[in-house]
Amino acid sequence: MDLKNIKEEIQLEKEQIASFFSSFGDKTSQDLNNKKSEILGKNSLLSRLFSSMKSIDEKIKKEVGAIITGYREYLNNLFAEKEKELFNKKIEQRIIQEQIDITLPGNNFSVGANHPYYKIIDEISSFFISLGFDIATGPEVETEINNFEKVNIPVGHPSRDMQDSFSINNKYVLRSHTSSVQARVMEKAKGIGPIKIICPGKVYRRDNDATHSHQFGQIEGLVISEEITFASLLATLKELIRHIFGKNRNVRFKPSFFPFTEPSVEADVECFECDGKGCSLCKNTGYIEILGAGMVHPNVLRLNHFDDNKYRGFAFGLGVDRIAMLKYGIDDIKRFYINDVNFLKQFTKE
Amino acid sequence: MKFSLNLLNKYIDIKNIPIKKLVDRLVFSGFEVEEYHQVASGTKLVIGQIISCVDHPNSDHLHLLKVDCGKKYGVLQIVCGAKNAREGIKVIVARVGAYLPSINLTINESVIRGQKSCGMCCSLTELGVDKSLLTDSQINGIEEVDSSIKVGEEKVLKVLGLDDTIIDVNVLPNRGDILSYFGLVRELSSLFSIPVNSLPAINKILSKNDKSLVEVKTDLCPRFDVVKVDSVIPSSTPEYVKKALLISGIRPISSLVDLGNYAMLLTGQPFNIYDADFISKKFVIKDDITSSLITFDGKKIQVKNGDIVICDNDKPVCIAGIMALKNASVNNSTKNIYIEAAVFSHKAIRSTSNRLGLSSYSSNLFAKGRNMSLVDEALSTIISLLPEFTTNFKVTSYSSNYTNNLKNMNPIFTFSLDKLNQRLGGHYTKEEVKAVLDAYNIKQLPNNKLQAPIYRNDIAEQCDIEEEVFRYYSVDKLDINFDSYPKTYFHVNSSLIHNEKIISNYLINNGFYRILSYTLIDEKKDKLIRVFSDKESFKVRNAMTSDHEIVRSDLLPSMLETIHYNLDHFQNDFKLFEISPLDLVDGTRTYLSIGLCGKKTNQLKSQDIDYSFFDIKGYITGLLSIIGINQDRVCFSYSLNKSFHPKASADIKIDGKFVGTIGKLHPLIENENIIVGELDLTAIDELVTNKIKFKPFTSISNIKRELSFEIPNNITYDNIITTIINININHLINAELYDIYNKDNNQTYLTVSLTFSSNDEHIALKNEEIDEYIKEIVSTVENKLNIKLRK
Repeated sequence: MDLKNIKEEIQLEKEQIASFFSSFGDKTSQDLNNKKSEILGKNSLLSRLFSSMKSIDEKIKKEVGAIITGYREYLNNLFAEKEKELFNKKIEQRIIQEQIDITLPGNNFSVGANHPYYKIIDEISSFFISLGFDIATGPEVETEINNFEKVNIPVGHPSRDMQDSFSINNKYVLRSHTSSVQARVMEKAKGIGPIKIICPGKVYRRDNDATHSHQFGQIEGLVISEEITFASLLATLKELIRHIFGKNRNVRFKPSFFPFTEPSVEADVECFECDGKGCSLCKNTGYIEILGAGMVHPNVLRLNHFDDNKYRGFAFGLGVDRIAMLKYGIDDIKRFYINDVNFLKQFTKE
Repeated sequence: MKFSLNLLNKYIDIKNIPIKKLVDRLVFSGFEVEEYHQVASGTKLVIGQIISCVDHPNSDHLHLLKVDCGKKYGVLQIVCGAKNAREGIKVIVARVGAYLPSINLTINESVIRGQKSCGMCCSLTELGVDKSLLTDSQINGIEEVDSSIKVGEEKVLKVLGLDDTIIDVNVLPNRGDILSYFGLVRELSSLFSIPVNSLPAINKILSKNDKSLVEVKTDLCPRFDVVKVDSVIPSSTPEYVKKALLISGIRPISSLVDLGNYAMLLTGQPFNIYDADFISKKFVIKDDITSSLITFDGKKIQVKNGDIVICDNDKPVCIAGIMALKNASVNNSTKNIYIEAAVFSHKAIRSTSNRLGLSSYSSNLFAKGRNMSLVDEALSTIISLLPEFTTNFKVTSYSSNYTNNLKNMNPIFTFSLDKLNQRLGGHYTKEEVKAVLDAYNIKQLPNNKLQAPIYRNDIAEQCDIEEEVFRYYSVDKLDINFDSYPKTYFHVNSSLIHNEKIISNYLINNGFYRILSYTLIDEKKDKLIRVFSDKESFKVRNAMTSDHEIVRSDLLPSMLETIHYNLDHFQNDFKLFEISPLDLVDGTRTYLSIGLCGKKTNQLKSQDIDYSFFDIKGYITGLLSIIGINQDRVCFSYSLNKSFHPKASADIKIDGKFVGTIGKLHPLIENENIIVGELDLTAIDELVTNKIKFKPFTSISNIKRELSFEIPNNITYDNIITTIINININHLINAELYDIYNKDNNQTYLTVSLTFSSNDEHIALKNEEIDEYIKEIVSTVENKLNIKLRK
């Protein structure tokens, strides 16, 4: 075989392959594989050329070798390219087959919701847990002693009237505030501090209109220690209110009165409807009353077996329903207790 | 209490303090100011006199007036519709350009039905005066001003005594002393450092107690004083007094009655004035009278034991603090009087007043509790007012059961500035604190002892001074911080609270809504359904309605009520739960109630299926495992609860202990397709034991086989599974439900899936081995349960 002959044969096969590819049409990858084994297989021209290398003239051996390996590379590339083309086509077809209407609704994994009352309790609890408070609970059918006497509301005090709280019998009432839990916690502490608790829970009063329900929720807090100050109470209330209503809200304090505490304060938040400019929600005052608090009255400490020369404390209380109504703009407290699904499903967001 | 700024001004000069500043100072020193407003307002007003009044030619009700408004404004033609418009009367004219804020009206020159009108004759309501201060004729017509006021007068509101502002202060219970003009005057004096104009001095008669006229036979009346005044000749009540009474909601009646009421407003002490000629012996105060009595205004009322009654010896003359009786009340011909000032038990007054449905300004004052030491000042005040109400009088005697009068009974106590600063976390100086003590007339005695003035019996110990100091200065004086906090850490002191949270989150994440319902329910609902205790529930004895009377012992009545409310309001498909502690007669338990209603929805509504027993069972199994109770400890058996469906509900036991019931309710109780359940979380909490403990595992391919049995009604899935498990085949690692198929009626095929696995990673199970196992299982199940493998 001479050089010219080799070149001719290669050229001939090249033309033949070119015509195969040009008329490939919708031939399959199987057809391509058949052609590939024909061209690159045992009986192929390439194979023959390689075996003829043994008998080739030493002078042109190097040149022929280069031509043959070059041709092999050419063929490999040619087929690899076509294979790739066919593979891509196949993937494209699969993609088209697998098309779905992504606008159809998703499978139904229904989303539930926490009741707004419990959302507020959770929100406030998490604030106090982060400050190291514990959560205390107690019964709702409570002794008159825990509900009144122990929190500085002696017999004859106006809020002990039958028209204000629900009475079970001569000894028991439905608790009218969660202060009764504080009395229980203090009792258990046997005069030894510190105490740092919040008590969330249901309370009951004989009251009934758009903003009052005979049942509502309260969260009260109590800290008793040797060091605690009124200034720390105010700092706590300010941060609590900002935790609930937004970190940039102004908070203001007004002196007030509660039998359980002295001095007492009320904390107001800057109205979040009008940003303090004055609107119907804040009755044009720019502020909304949020909670009451104060330093535990020494008499309460004494009544609960704490040495009021050694210990002092602060306490605060807020209405869960009221906070929820303000925060979510709920118009009537009774909605909390009716549990209309149209109401409940609005509180899906965590 | 509503205060007239003019009357306050009589006792303290606050004319130069802007009202906004006054109110803010009050608000930020512990007084709630409900509102404040001018009694009347309007610009460009002038007094005029109607000099001619004829019918408007083009109207059947309007008048055409000529009103003389003095030299400056001349005679104006005004069209007026008031029925009482007539020649000769003096009226208030709002001139052209006048603005009346309460009706938001600007007066323009106008032509009304062809006649020019250059102003408006006003009623007091048009000037903003509250209707409660006016008579019917004042409300319905233009104001007819006193003929002594001269035409052309432009300071109309002032001459009519209407240039006043009312401040409504909500007085908190510790400051009963502020329920009086004198109290607020003293407070304003302290807050603004303005001296009080002289308050009446203590009358000398009060040091001559002859005691003979008073006998108190009850503990409910610690102090009862009477002053006898003879030879009175009542004159008419001064106009400014009438206005002050009206502002406080008290109708002027007659000069002697008005005297008592006016003195009450000033001092906060209710008075009762008796016609002395109808008091034959002496005043005896009792609380043990049961009788039917007639009040001074002719109402018949029933008094009983515990009501304080003032008697002329044995004859009742007054229901203490509430209402005088007809027989000894003052009238126009009264000549000699007794003025009574007393202190009664506020609890007794409240209870009598509530029971009789009678309340008055004075009963409300008494119900708040009185400072006994203030009676001296009150009696001195009313005596000092006598010259304005009677042209003649003679104070003849004083009698009281109280032996400490004229003494300051307030305690002397020790005060420490250091303690104050420690407790408040503040840096108040000695001078700043002294300024407060001085402002409030607190007596500073040697050895750091303090004593409050007679009218402030709320100040009795260190913390009371701390309160005064805090409220006297701005809150900004305190540098607020967290520095004083004791360092403590949150503990989960109750796993119940912890598990409650976990269960609640689990259910919410599974599409449930948490509900909150009333603790108080009606008796019928309470008896309708009980899962746990069947004991009698607590009952409140003063329920507001019978709907909310029983302290519930079970959550399911409320759950059913909620479900039905929603069904009635066109909500059909939902999942609800409630977790709440309940107070039963034998202690507090926390229960969980669940309600499933309607269909669970898929992507395709056509494939929605009703919630079933198996949904709730699945949720229960899930929530138990999430708090650490494995399925193998939980046993379900047909419920024995009579309120539940006997064949479609289950009682749940954990380690043999009953913890709840789930399923359908009995058709007699519930017609709708509702699935409910209730668990006792307190009981479950005690059963939570398991901790997470890692077990090594191998990854071996498992072999699954299915077996299908034909089963009759009396054989359950549990029977089959238990039978299979009890064979104890080492390589059988799981047996579970694969399919259930009801063919025709009564023919049920149940297929179980069995999973076999080699215990050794290196040895695979052979098919022959498994075939042997299957053979053994089939024959055991067929023999033990007497059922057949499906061919």
